[in-house]
Amino acid sequence: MQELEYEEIQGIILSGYVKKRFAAYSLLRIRSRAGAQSYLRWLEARLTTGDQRPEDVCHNVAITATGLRALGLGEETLATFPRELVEGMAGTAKRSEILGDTGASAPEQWLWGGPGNQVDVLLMVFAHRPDQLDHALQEHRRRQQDGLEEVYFRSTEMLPERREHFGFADGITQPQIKETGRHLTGIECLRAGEFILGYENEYGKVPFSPSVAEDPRANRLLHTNGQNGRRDLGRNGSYLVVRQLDQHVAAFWRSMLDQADGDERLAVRLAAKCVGRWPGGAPLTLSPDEDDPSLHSANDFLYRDRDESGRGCPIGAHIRRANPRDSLGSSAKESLKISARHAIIRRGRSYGPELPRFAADEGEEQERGLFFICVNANIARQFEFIQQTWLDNPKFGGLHDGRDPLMSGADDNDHRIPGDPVRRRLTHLPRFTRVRGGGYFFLPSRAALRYLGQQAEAPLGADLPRTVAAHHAPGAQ
Amino acid sequence: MLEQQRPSAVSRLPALRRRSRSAAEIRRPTEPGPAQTGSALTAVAEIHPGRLESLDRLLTEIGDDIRNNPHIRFEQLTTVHFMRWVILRRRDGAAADYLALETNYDGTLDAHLADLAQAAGDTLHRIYSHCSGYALAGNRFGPSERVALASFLKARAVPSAAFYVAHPSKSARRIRLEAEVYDAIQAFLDAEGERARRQAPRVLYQRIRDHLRDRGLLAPLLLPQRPPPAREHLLQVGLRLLPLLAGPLLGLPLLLPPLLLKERTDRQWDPSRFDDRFERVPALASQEDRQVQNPLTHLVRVKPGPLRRFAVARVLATIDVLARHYYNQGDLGGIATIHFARWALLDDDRTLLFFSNYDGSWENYLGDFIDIASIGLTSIWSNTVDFPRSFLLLFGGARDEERFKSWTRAHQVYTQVWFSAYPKLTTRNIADNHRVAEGLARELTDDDAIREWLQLV
Repeated sequence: MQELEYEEIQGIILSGYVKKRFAAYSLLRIRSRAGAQSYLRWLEARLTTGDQRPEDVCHNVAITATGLRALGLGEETLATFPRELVEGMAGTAKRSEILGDTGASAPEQWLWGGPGNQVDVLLMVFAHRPDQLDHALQEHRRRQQDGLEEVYFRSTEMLPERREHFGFADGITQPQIKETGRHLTGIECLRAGEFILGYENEYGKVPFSPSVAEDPRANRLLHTNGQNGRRDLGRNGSYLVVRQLDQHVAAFWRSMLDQADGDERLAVRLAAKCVGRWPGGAPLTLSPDEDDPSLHSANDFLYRDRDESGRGCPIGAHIRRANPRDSLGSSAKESLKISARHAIIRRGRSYGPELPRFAADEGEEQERGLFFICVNANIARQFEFIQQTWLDNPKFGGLHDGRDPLMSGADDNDHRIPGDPVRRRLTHLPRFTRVRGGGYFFLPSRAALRYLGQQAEAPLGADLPRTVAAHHAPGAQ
Repeated sequence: MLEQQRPSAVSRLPALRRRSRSAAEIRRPTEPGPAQTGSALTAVAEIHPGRLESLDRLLTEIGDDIRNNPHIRFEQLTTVHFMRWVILRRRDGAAADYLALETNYDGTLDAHLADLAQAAGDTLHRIYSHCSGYALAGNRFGPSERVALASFLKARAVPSAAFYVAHPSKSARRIRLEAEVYDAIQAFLDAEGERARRQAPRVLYQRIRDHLRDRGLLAPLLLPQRPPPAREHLLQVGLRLLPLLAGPLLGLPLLLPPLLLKERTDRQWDPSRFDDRFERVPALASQEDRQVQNPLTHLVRVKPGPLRRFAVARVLATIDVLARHYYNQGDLGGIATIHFARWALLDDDRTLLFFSNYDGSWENYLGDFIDIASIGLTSIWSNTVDFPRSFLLLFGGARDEERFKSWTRAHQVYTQVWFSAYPKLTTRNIADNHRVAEGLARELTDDDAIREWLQLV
């Protein structure tokens, strides 16, 4: 097994920094290449990588395709990146369609990352205390002045007891990277190449990695890619998927209460049937009839033997879609293999103030939700697959009709809940989340960040920019 | 060869050698009782030089609006499950520019062709006027044109080297009926709400049945159907395969060294050379995921030399036997999302054409190829150009995930026209609807059986 190059790998791949309860996300647009590069050089010295355990503040950074272009990468280099990254999350109508980014969630309506508010750089800062965070951000803003402008800013503070806004314990399932040698338990332990470029993945292959032509700058900073005489820009890097999801908490609970004819106990039960866990975290498969506090972190369970038909956790419930474990197809073994090949590391955090269950309306401060971030080495096979083939697929797991009841991209959703003597069906469920922004980002290694932060050197090579502004993503519409 | 019931692998062998026999010659007498279901027609006609663009325009008009285009009312077809027209261009690896037609149909071939002519004769006439050897003059489509069109298509029918059907005994009509029954039950239960959940299972079952009877949906369920095929014992399948595989196995000492050598030296796909992927892949993806099913058309040259041509034909013949006699229960080698799939060899076995009608996303389908069926697919496609490196014909190859996906996209062909007679159903839905229908056609009396049945709806 390959040893991870921790000093090169951005910390957010390896850690959620959960002890740092305050985080800020700054979405930036590059105004001048030289200014942006000078900022990235400054940032590189503060970058949190896997070999560090910073006491107070952590810094990580990721860059979109437009950002890479603005930093001087040519089309020939861009073409070595995955098509998803180059086109961007909002780049084509087809992608918006398969991600469910339509209607109120359409990119035209986004706060950032849409057609009118392109984003080049994502800065992530994490701290124990708000004052540390503010102090760090001030420093960043001073350094950004010459090269970048902020398109959108979002600060977050973790909700108590690992809850997300609908009121359910979250983040219980998280894949671990085998090569780290930590937390190595059970089915969620995967090869590094699923999340970090340059290492073998679950197929026993090293993922395709973006590369640049050889030149003195590249040769000094980047490894050769072992083929066709190019330098490996991706090694120790990854891809981040970011989506800002507003959650309509009052609407969600009102809807559950309606379906339960006003019975609050039943409403909670139906909500749990949508999630697949009780609010406290106990999985319905293990505790079908009531919340069991002793199972609040239980994650060592499978569906096929205990709960094949979904009498505990319905087939369409959120956690069963997001991680079907052994329940797919005709063989548990094949299913576990397939589940392992479509996993993501989630690094998102909730934003906005909490709303009590059964609140009459969303309140004055309406914006609350999940700043969703995930790490994956293959956006098409991991994030997009989970979104399209599992969460937002009306035919998931043999169902006839019904998308993820929490995260559906459809306005008129159904959710089938098996029961005695016959199923209950929640019908005409509206969307409970709304996408407010999003993007696909390259998460560079320290070396790649250094490369991107340095001015290209003469002689002019193929990688030098023609005109930055004139380039559109090939294939984008 | 037109797909009908074939008694044994042995009788299939001549088809591997002979490419150009007419459909009429190989058609078997229709079985008594319920009509044939789920047969395959592939017809490949050469496009008249100079008429390619005009044909492309016409097909695009149809394909871009499959339900409401002014040319063909597909929903009037009574014999069709899935059908497509695809232009196979020279640059994609075909020997000339061809128009390929795929249909998956019920009943006899003649009745199927009559159905096509009935629903869309004028448009078929227009389409095939773009093809060489289509000698009919004028714009009128009368009875004589109907006969001529049928023989034109029969003369260009290409046998499937391997053909798979998820539900071989189900007609398109029956599939739609059972889906209507399922939907009617859902609507009934939704309207009943809490009342349904308070009833005794037996009472609820009877009320559902009564409700369906009142709506005229129970009687058609009682009509006779073809019995589903049985999965044969592996030993029996082995006997069928013996004549196909005995030769190659005996000749292994001779065949193996050149194969191993070629596997080490054959060029494999280099994804970084897929220059136009930013144009081609979005174009292919644009026609996917419009509904729950998707089409895949794939065309690739067989590697040069007799060894590869021999290997690909034998492997496909083997898969054909397996698909008919073993994988006849709704999955092909573990993949349960395919409605109909076929491989056909064109140009004297020099080009391999693949048509598939599958459920779900392309990523999911290709993922299944890799995770579940890589051995079978590698044994086929490792004989075609640029396939990811294989070992012993079966191993490696499709397991090279990113390279295999890139190779597949690079050889995928845009499907101009694609129609499904039941666009909202997965193979799994069809199988489940069948179980629901079975529990209605035969009145259940046992309490446990009723309780179990109620869990299906």
